[in-house]
Amino acid sequence: MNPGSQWSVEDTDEVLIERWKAGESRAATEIVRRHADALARFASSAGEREEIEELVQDTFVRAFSSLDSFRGESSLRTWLFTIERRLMLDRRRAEKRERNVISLDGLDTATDYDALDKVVASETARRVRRAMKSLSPMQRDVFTMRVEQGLAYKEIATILGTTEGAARVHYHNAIGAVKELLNE
Amino acid sequence: MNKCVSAEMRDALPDFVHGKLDATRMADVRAHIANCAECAAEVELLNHVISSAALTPAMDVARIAGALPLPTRHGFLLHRGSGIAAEPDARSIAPNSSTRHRTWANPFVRIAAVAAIVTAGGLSLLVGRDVLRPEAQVGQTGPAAAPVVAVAPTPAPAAPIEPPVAPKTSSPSPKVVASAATGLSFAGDLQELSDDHLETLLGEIEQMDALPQAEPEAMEPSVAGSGGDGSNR
Repeated sequence: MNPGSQWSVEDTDEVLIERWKAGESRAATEIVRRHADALARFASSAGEREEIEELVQDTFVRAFSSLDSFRGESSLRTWLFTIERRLMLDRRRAEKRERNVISLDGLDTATDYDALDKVVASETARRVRRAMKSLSPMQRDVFTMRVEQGLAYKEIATILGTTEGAARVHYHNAIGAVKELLNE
Repeated sequence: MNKCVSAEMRDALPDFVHGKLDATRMADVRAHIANCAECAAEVELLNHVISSAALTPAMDVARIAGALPLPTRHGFLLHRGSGIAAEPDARSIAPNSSTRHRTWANPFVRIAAVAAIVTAGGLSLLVGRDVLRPEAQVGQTGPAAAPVVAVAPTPAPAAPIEPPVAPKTSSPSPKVVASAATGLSFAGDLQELSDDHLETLLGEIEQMDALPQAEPEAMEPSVAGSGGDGSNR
């Protein structure tokens, strides 16, 4: 079955949500199809090494369990990113407690990218990824959201709980740092 | 490489590579890149970042969708027990700690669990109170309590459990109807009688001629033909 075959491209996420609330469970499948890959990319870029699909699934389960709290003030994808980021923070805290490993706020996050490195075929892309490792968690989150997801600063600020101006500053600092590292 | 002096153009580069600008703006940025080596290099870098990020593992949409709660027209969310009917893949989600965590993370599941516990506890209290209360046992309407509720007026030597009485009561009660001609009978529940009424009633019963003076002997099952079904009326 092609889950997307019965939905029009013009159907907005809000329309799909309403259909899902009305009992059309397949509307949820279309929503997952639209956003799952982006959530996976964000998780990878943020340093998630394993069980990315579990994380994405948890994100959707959490979102659909509390859809009534989604007021449409931001896009659904922005809301999903917000939930996913909180789940990642929870994961990191749990890992830190259990294994005393690097927290999301830590400086040394090099090992977070090991798994991703293995699947990055291009040498240039590998160098880019390594450069991104050196960014602070906030810079990296802003950078990946801005570059990989194409989110606007306003959306990034919503997800990260910061201001639009701060997000813009983080982005320009991040890309400056990446360029500098690539030129070394 | 010359530094780009247009912060506005640099700010727009991520949107440019994602094609999120309108046609006019896209043309402006494209023209700027043609003359700005720094922005051209930055666009190349951004494309590398995007292409490397695209190598994340593909998500199993059916599996993820199968784990989602089901909507109902009543506004409740139900967690799937077996996934979407039309998508067999969704049924194959193995229960694990993550699934259990998600199940209990659902507030509706928690509320249902609490309601079930409170209901069960309340019922057990009610049942326990009724079982322990002596007057409740006397006043049961089941077969074991039937002889107390209604006393047959006709003497029946073979069934002393159903004593023929010609009762009369000196303590009138709306629930008790006394008749010297037909015997003692009343409708209602013994629980509704006060202790004084009960004592009076027992005294009246003891004075009845038809009643045996002592407790009846234990009966063999074959003798109690009329009461063989265990219900004494």
